[in-house]
Amino acid sequence: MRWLSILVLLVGCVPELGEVDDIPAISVRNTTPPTQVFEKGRQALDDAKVTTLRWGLTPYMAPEELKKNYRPIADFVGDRLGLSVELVMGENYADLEQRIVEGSVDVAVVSPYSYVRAKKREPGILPFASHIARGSASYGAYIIVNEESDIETLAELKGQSFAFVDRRSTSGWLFPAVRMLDEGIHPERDLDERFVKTHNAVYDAVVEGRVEGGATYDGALRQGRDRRRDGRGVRVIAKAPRIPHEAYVLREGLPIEVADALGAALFEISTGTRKGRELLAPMLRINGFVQVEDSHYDVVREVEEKANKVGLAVETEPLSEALESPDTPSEKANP
Amino acid sequence: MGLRRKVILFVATTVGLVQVLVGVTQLRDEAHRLRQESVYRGHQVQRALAVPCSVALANREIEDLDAILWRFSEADGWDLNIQSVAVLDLNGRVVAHTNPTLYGQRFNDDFFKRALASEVPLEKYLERSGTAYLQLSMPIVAGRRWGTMTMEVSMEHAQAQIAERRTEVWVGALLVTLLTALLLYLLMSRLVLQPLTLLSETAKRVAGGQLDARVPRRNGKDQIAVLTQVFNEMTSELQDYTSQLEAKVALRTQELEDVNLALERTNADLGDAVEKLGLLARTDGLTGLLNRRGFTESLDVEVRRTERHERPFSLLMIDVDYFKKFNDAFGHPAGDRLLISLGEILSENLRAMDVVARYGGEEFAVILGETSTEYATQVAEKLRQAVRTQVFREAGDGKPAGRVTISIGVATYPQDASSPSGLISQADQALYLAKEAGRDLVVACQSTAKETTE
Repeated sequence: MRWLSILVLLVGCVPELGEVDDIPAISVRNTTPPTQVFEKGRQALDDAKVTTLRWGLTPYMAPEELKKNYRPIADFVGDRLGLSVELVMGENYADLEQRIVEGSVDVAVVSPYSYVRAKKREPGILPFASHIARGSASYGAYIIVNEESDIETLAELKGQSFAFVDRRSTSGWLFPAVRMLDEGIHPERDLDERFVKTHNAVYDAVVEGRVEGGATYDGALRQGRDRRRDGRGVRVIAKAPRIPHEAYVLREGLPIEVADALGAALFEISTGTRKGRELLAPMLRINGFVQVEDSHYDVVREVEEKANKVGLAVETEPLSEALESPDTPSEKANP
Repeated sequence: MGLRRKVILFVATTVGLVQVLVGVTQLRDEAHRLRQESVYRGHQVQRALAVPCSVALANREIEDLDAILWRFSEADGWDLNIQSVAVLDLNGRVVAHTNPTLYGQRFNDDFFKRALASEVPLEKYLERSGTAYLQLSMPIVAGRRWGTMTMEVSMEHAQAQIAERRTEVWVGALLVTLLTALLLYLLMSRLVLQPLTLLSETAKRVAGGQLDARVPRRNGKDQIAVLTQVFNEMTSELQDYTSQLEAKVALRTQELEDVNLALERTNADLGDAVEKLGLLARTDGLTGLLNRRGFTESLDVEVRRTERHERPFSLLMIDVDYFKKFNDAFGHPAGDRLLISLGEILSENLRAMDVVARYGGEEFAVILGETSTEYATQVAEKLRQAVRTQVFREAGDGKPAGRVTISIGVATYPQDASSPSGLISQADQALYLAKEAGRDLVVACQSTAKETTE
């Protein structure tokens, strides 16, 4: 009997041994990478005649604040590669998507939905990093109503006024919209819907009773509680599936060595070090960066397919000049 | 051979069954252990998760609950196949779930109801479409009750492990059974079957009559040794008994044969006696000739013989002339002596095949086989002459007693008569005629010419 047991054990071990070699899809690296990585990246950029790295940002919050918050990180990365970084603010979600597709920025931090769209239009773009916030690689999208409201289910939202963020927003449009479709509510036909540009604007509109309901992400709920001291609040009536954090994308035409070098610099930054905490201070909820591959966003593609199937409108008018509600620049937000 | 197969089959099957029983019991224990282990570890995980969840619930930070669950599920490496985790508020509503779309739902499952009411961790084992699951619950308490955490763990891996072990148990049982059968086969052959075969073969020889057959003695005190000894003793007794029986039978046979022989002898004696008796019955006591009865029998025989051979025979009826006077003159004993002498004379002058009988009183009868009347008359004449020339002496003093004559009647069968009695009658008739004609004469039956001699 014993030899049989041992045999069974041995056979049973084989797949486990195989699993050990699997590289986890997400990992945080805190070690200093070898300088060759940066040299190669720099060399590649030189070859591509890039002297200043153009770094695109999605304007999910007030552009000037965003730029200010990002500056330390951009400078750190630029220092590692030995060249200057120019932060480029997109006019809106669609604008930045267009820029990375056409290559007018070298690197872009885009919403997951924008990434999936851009990748479809220009397969040459390369995702190389994402981040961890509040210890998680994903974040949540929520459908909220005013705390005082009688509405308890999605069905009861029919015919009501409702606030979304932007048609390129993942948590402020795509995921909540498809979640509604699952419950038999068409977000365009069944709702009096409006797009209020930012997450905080959605929160405020709901709290102040300007709309019956709204869609936003977890950060906005947290910020909302902190920002508002009037005791008024919101109530979550539904949740959409979890969403991977935004993608750091390299434009088409730049070699992979550039992505390696950029990633290596980003992975050095984490809240585990004093330097990291200093750099991430303006965006306290980010804990660090992780390497990702294209498949990391497959979950977004699935939801997008559902949206396409029912023909949800995906195009949007260019973002107007000003944002309706001032965002507090203390936290990293999501598109 | 039948016995061996039965015993091996029985014992090996029993051992196999016991093995299976033990294996199955072990499997059940193993399954129970795996389940208990999963329950324990699952509850430990829940206990750990419940702490931050209680904070989030207390602060009503719904999005924070999600972050807790997701951090947990992204972390992986719990070595527990966790299918889902849910946080329920005090009303049983789902406030967080690893599947966010289940937010706000109420599960009407019995387990969830019990979990909401329970102040201690609970577990429930269930199977859905062939896969086993473990439902676990943990009250979320921090100072006071804030909610309930439930968790579902797949027991698929444990099931697979048990299934593997089950195969092992069965294969093991099969091997043990076969091994037992083999060992039994060898053991039985050596210890039981060989001596038993020897015994049965010897018994067969004994049954076939070879009574001196014996089983070689065995050492030891086991049943086989006893059986062997008893068998040998029995066979010896059988042998003794048989030989005694044979001796007795031989003795009895001899006795029987002796009795038989004696009987045969007696039988022969008896036959002789009967013969003698018959002879006596047919013999005349005085003369030793056939008496009248013996004569009648002989006549019948002669008649039958004549009928068969178609040869005639003749009858002579002889009477002593003046026998009364002789008797009167010399006395009856002399008369008797005369009659004896006459019988002797008649016999001396006749052939051996002829029959002489004393017919009665002083009358004699003679049957002459295969003799015609003519020849018979000659014989009769010869007899008459022989008698008349004989001088009869008075017995006792030897004095001469004188001469005696006889008269003879002759009749022949079948021409003179068609039956024995008829023949006698015809001969008597002829005798009468001879007496009438003066005595000392031979007279043939009337159809024959009368002949007289002096």
